[in-house]
Amino acid sequence: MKGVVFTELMEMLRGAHSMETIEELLDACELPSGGAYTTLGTYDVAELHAILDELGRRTSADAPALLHTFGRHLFHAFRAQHPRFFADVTGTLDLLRRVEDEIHVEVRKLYPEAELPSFACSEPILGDFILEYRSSRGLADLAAGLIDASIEHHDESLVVERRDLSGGHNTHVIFNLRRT
Amino acid sequence: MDPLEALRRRLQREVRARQAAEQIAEEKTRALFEANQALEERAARLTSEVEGRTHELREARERAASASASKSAFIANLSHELRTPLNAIIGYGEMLHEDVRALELEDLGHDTERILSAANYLLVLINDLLDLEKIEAGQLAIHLEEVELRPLIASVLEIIGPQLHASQCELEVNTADAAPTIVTDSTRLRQILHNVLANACKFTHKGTIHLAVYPELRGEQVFLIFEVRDTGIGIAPEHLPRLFERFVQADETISRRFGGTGLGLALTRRLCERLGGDITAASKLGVGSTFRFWLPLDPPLLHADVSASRG
Repeated sequence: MKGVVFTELMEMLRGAHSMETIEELLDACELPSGGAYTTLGTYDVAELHAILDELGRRTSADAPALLHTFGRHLFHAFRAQHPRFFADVTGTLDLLRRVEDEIHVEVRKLYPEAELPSFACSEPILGDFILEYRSSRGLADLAAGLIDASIEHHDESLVVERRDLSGGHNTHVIFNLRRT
Repeated sequence: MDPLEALRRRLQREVRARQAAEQIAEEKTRALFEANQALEERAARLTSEVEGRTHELREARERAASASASKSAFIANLSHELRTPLNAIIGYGEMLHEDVRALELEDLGHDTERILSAANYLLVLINDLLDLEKIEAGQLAIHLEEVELRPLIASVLEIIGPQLHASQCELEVNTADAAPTIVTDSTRLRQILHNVLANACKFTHKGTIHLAVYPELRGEQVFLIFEVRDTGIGIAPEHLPRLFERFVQADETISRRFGGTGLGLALTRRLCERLGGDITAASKLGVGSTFRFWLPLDPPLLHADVSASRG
């Protein structure tokens, strides 16, 4: 998984927890990388789960909720890092359409080896916008956090319904976005 | 964990992260450098290949041009050498023909007439070949003068008369009064008009040949248009594009049926171009052909080698 996800996770932790707590948490995780993340590197997704699990134990928050929070954080981080791209984005549905067609195309140019989730969008039928998330990493909660942060940011009245087609593994999830 | 220990660990982590980042950046830089070097080598290889090919092509072109020039010189010399004995044949043939006629030997008279006509045709061919080679070598001199059109056309029609009669064709001539004279080379204009009309006669049997001459403004220059329309056998569309190339006849069977070397139209086009004009052909198989050539009515001095004698 690309290093930017881990450096942003560290940013999120720094915003919410003391330096001592973070160091203790990282120490407890016994990470192969030692938590020395850089945006240039690539790290095992297991380190992300290990950190969030440990954080969950210490804050008694569950892993899905933490991933969701991290997804919201990532939306704002990406917006701050790529202002020119986001200047053109007109709303959440527009953003979701561009994930596959623009963002992932550019990411693959820079990192041909990157394993990216698939975001298949269907055009609205009877007012519903359907997004099909597929990824072996099962980070649908993180995707949900990104979507919710975008809806809030664009001040839209969209209701999101989720249906997991992978038996609770979050690797194949349908998001149904309906205008209210 | 006390704050100092936490700070120490964080610092260690940041240092490790920085070192890792530097190492990755170093590797990427090296990979980029190597890729760049490989690209440069490839570009150099391609450039040298292109240079090599260009050199080969230039040499081939020079060889071809030199071969073509020697061939032209050979043809020019040969044609010139052929003309001398041929003129003797024609000269003595004419004398013989007159004697035979004076002796009223009618059967022999037909034979000497055929010998003369074949010899004259051979002379036309040799002259065409010589002219074509002169034009291609840039050695054909043009003598500009003010030419009266009607007498010139009449003289060409007189020469073409027997051919017209043989092919049982009607000739209609339509000349506009607007341009009674043209500044051009009268010999060459006569030659062009004769070639085009003779061609029309050759490919039209019991039909009509229409000659129209009229001025036309093209851009800022006035051209005299000569249009020869026939109701002959016509030319297939696939043969039209190469019609004016030397040694090319519309169809290989044509030389067998109608004779000719394929020099006539090539020479005609070169002559038109040399006089500042050009020629085009339009045709429909089985319906007829239209040849249209044009010359500037009052051309500026065409080339440095032109000797102008006006009036």
